[in-house]
Amino acid sequence: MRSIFSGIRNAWDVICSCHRSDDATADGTILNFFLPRLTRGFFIRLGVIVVLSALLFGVVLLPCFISGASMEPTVKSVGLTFCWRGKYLFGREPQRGDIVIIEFTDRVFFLKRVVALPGETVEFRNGELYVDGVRQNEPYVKFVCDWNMPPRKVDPGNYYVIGDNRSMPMEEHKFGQVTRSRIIGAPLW
Amino acid sequence: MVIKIRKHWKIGLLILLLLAAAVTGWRIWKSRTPEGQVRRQLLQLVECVSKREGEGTAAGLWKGRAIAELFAPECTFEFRTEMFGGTYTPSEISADLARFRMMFAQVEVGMRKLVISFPTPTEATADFTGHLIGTLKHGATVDAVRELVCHLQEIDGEWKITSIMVREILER
Repeated sequence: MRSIFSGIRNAWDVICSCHRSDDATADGTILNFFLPRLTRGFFIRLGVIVVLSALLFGVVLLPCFISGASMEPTVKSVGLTFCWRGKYLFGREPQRGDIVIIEFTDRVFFLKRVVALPGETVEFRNGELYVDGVRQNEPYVKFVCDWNMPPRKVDPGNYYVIGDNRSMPMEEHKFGQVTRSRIIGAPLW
Repeated sequence: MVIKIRKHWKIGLLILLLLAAAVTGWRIWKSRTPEGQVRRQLLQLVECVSKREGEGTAAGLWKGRAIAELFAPECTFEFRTEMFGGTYTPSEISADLARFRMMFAQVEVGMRKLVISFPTPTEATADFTGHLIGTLKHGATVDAVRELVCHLQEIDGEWKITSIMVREILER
């Protein structure tokens, strides 16, 4: 094992020797960056970066590829964002109007907006959203909507979420109340 | 360095063996706690519903019999968005499951985010996400995710399912 590793390191050094320089000028430094010497320090630094990246992008900032038009035009139908997990930690709760990320499966998330809080009643009349009988002002809804839905009470511990793009038939849009535990964060942008 | 490793390899091996024994002992103890028993019942439920491609009739019969053992004499099913709710006996559940499995060439059921709580020492509530992916015999695929809440009761030393509530992740 030791001899295999030594062999790989020697081969790497031979390949790099024609490009690498001990010159401390800018060119030498850049070449050393792309063709590093395989020393113990290098592997320690690499290990630290791998661990920190796994923690950052696996726990704190989940990369999310956006696919779907349910939040147009607020969020483009194709794009990349990160789920900021810390948004709703330490007692912070989603508020009306917040854009949230909802865990559907371990690999699929929904991006929706909170329109009603636990215990409130949600209703659609001719495309207009009513919460507890009060018509809501929704400047983020840009497309014409003609939905009608009888009043629904949001269960305790649940939040009512809908996308901003309500131009499609209601049956084709995934929306509804979701348990608080499924709201895992908010998009970073 | 090489000499030190050769000298201390026995100690290293002993530590590894002790560690393995500790982990094994902890897992055995955990499986015998009420939470471990409830978890085992739910895993058995998921296994009985799943069907591998080319599964034989004998395996299907065994699963039908096994699933009947998981339920209390009367079990209530509540579907928040469908109309199939009601109270069923274990034999009725077993028969319905057999019919359900016959529709599929292959079906896999997964269970995630399992949370088990004990309102009383003989009652348990299990909250989890069920993910069903399958291929029907005529080729269509099914991919469904639901939230399930199971209530179990300890009857004669075994945890039996007394009710199951199924709801959509986003429920209108």
